[in-house]
Amino acid sequence: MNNVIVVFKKELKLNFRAKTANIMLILFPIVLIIILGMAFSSSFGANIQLDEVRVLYTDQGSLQLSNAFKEFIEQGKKMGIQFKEIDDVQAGLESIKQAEYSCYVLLKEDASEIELYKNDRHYFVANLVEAILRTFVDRYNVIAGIAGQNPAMLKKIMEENAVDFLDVKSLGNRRKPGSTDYYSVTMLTMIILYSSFTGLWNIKNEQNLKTGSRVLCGPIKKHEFLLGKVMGSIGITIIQGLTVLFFSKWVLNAYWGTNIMPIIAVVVSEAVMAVSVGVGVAFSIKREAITIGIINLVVPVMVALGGGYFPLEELGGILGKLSVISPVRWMNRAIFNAIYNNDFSLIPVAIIINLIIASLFIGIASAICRKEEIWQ
Amino acid sequence: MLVSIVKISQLTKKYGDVIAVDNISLEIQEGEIFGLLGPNGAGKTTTINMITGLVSMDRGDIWILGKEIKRSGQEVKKNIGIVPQDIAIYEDLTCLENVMFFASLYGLKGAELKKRAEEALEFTGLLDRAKSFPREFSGGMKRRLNIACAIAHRPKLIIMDEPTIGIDTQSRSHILQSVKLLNEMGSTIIYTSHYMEEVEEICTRVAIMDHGKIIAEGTQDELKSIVTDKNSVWITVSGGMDKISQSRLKEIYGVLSIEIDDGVVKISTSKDVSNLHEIILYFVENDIPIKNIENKTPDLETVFLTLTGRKLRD
Repeated sequence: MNNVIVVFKKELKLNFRAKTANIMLILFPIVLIIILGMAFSSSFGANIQLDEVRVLYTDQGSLQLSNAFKEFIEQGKKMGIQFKEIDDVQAGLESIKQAEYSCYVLLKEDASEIELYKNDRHYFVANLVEAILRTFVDRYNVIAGIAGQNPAMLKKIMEENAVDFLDVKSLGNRRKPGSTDYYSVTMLTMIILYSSFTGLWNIKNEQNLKTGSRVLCGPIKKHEFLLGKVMGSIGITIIQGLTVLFFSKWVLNAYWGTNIMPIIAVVVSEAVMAVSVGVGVAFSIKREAITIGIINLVVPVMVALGGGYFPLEELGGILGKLSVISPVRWMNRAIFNAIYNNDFSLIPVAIIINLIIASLFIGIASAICRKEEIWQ
Repeated sequence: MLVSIVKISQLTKKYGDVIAVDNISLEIQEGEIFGLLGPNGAGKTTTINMITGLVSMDRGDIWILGKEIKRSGQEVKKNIGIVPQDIAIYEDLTCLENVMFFASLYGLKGAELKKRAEEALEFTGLLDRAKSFPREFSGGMKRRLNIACAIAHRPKLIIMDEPTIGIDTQSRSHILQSVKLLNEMGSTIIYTSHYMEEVEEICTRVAIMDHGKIIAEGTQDELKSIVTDKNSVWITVSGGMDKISQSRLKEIYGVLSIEIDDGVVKISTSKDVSNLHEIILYFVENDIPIKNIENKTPDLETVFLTLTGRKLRD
């Protein structure tokens, strides 16, 4: 373990002194946030205009569910949300595919099933409706459950609290990211992905300088050396990422929601993933120019598919479908959902995707680094 | 009693169809400066890499300090310091940080680590540049730092793989003196080079490698005796050529042959006979003015040339 710590500390020291890399990985995203934030400020609204929200629905539900949903519609209309009923389910789904509506709600005969279909082109709006609908469903389920078990109690509750199926107060706080808010998230996830270069260079430098082979002549095992190097690269990447995050939060006043810890967890997992990818590529491909080319090609594509350069709702058709392959898409969604919908359900998904990719590339690196010719 | 610090038995390494090291056996005793001499591609570095565990062996065994490296690799490595052929240092770490990093891999810590690192820098003449970054250094200074990184943990065995490539005469001289001093301080040295002069200057015993094989091994005298049992004395005269009598010279005990060529009298003598004073006396007594005397004993280059038909740096 001592050897791992020795290599880890050396790696941190070397990376702190890599001025060009630090400028690239800290200053560059901050400058981009400022420039893009200013350039596209008019394209982003600070709050969602609810009268732009158009919900299509088909009511095949039970009488109890239908009545409850009508109550939901009434409350929604008061906020400006436009509802339109359609009988044909297929036509409803087609409308969503064509992005004619923000989302489509299907009340099914089975009282326990309410289906929501969203189109990514209305990402934030659809998420807002989903959040409102979830509130409705939760309350409906509670009330329906009590009604089934203890009707007398239900009467008492309804009399005392004049229950609404919708908590209207929560909508007052709903907001949509401004341009600085948006690019603070996307530039952060983008630049951490570029940290795969940190992993790449940290291996290639050991090979080019022949220091790797010299280290391995000493009483240190290959896996200790690799672990120390990867940990050091991840450490510096996390520091760089958090610097960008907190600079945007405190200096640029970007909005990061009320609970930043899950977002930091995503940042950490992305650092692990990006460095592992770089290390894996460094070991897999000998020619340095090719490794650089691969990362320079893949990272921007993943970032674009993840909504890094323009908002996700702009993506439609094939690009929209392709976006699922981008880990950046999952991270951005997880972070935006956490910030703007207080919905943290995608956070573990994004983290798991990152860790799976990391495991894959670290596995490759571990297997290849055992080959002695790698270090000569 | 001689203690074997390195023992190599039937060591073989192949890369595809190419045999880099071909069934070599060696024994290096404690306190020696053992030279591994051979042209580029002879198999010296591959042999060194197998000793340090960087390259696996296809066949054979290596024992360091009586321990087989296949079984006790990590433990054995603690006693080895390696000066690699390439300058393997971190340009963004200071001199002191470089030495401390490599020494810390050998278990040194805290104040002891810093003290030993400073000692290593002092030994290589770099202590006053301890806080400098090697990217500012000349090739010779980098080579010295390369050595400092290998000696701070005071290894019993120091392996130097072509440590003087690409440096000026002054730095080379400094490094060769350092090697001798390290040896005097108790370290056994394995020194690989394709510079015959360096090996001749510092090594107590030499193995000559070519095409992966050890083609000769022994002390320098033993190696030279392989190729000839003669010495040559070349005497350049500045006049009196007509006074030289080859028959009279041949009467001197041990003189085997004489050749006169453009003012140079080339006298071949038996190696076992010490007769130089008698030869000189002949010239003095016959009033033949001597301009220069060269004792042409065979060098390792001659040995290599004789054994392989090629020059070391061909």
